Amino acid sequence: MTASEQRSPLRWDHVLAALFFGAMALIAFMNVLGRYLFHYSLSFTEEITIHLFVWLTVIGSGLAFERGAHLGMVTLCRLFPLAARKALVWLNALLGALLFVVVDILLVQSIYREITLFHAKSSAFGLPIWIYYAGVPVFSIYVFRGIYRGARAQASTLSQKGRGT
Amino acid sequence: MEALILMLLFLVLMLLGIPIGTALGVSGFAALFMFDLGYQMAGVNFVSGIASFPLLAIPFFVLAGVIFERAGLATGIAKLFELMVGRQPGGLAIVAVLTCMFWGALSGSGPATTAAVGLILLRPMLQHGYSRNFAAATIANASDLSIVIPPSIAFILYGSITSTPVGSLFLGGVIPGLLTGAALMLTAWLISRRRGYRGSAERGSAKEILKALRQSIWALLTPVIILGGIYAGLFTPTEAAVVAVFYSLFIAAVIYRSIGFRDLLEILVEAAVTTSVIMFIVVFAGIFSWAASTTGFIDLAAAWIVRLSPNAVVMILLVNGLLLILGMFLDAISISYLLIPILAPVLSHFGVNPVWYGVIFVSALAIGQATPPVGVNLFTAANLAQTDVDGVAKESIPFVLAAMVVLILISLAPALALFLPELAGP
Repeated sequence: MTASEQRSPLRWDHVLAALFFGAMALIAFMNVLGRYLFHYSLSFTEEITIHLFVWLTVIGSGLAFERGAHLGMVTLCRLFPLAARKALVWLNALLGALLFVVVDILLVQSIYREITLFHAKSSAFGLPIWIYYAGVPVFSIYVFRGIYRGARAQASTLSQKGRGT
Repeated sequence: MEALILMLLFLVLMLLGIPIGTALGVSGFAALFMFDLGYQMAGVNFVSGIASFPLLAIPFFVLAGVIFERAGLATGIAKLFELMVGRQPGGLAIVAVLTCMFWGALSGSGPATTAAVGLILLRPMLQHGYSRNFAAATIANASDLSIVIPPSIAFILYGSITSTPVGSLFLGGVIPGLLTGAALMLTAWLISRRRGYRGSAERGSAKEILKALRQSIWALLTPVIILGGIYAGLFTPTEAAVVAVFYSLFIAAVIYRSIGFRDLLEILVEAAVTTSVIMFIVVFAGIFSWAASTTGFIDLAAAWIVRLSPNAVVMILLVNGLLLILGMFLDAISISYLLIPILAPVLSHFGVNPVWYGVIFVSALAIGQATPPVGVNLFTAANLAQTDVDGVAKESIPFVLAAMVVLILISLAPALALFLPELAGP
């Protein structure tokens, strides 16, 4: 898996995750430096950092699905027959996707209410608060793709195992 | 009724091998929808469950850990410890425990420590005649310490759920972490002496030790900077984490020149995935525990624990037992989110200090990381050593017992956990 990732030049989700993570670290570090070296507080930037963290989590969850890295209790289901295990791979994918569909729908509804009714502004920058929310449904694209790719890879590994024995 | 459905659904999904985050999220949402518990806010709760400054310490400590690992610091540290204590019976096992303890002070997660130390020390241990299972068990159990020895993701989560200062929890973990480490080393020494696992033939000369010390000095300074900064009130834990990121980057890129600009993308992506695996559970465990408290399950369970225990000490020991059992099946993050909301009212009922209890709680969780069938460290170590989990689990028993003795000590003597935080002041 890592070999093919190294061969392919750059992936958008990798670049975005790295950019968000790098920006979070830089902003937070400037904050510490600012406070001690220049006696100047940049604490209003915290708002950006914590919401980049939300977006980062969404993109990274997609990558974790693709790599099958999410933690689960796999001891018991290893004992199941192959066909059942394959069905579980797709159930797993379905539930994971469903979860993010629900989160996205609820967030889009919240965004709609913000735009039409509440017009809440973020406390530090005065940006409309829904901009921060919007990253979740947008970057969920990578979650759905990751879930699909991960499930396909796991299913094909199980098929090969079936042919091997 | 609602609570029962919630718990059953979660259990079934978990037993089917569905990722814990998905299982928590699906059952949480199912309860919120079925019983109309205000699901409209759940989307916003997803965002606010992640977007918090204290939790920001998690990605930064993970990132610093990945950079330290890439920099190849663990080899130098293991070498230093080997020169110092390698001649004892079971010298390499003791070196493994010490290296894990030190690595725990650089990174906050158990499996990462198992992998980092296992890659370096398993081969030499096998070459010196240690059994595969014993070597893997030593490293798996010593890696448990990384969530007790600060920085620790488990303390960050405990602090964020109970609003306890994470800095105090970090300091509280130091003495119990060192004590558990000492207990593990003693166990390794006793077993090695009986089985004739010998240490290295020659003792490192003072000159060699000094040289190794000089080579590792930058790494050795890291815990001083992180903990010293928090202790002196210079940084919050999140700030200490981001300072650790840039310090590790400085060491890796400038001093050791082991990473270049191009490695950075790979490092950031790897740290992003590890962070997301944690946050995926955190965010959906948050929604699950919200559903659990709305269904009234939490109040019920808390009242039940209070009724069952005549005093605080019995309560703590009972819950320790529960934690050890849960630790066999669930990861540390989910247990924290499932149990801490239940325990918080119980703690205040008995007037238990939340910092002290946090240290007990995390120490108990740590032991669970190396107990079968789902000890994450156990699996990582067995994989690395190319042996089966059952064999490693058997060799783990004396280590687990040793760690449990220390856990009971901490549960009976609050001063062990509270000495340093109280010294540092509020």
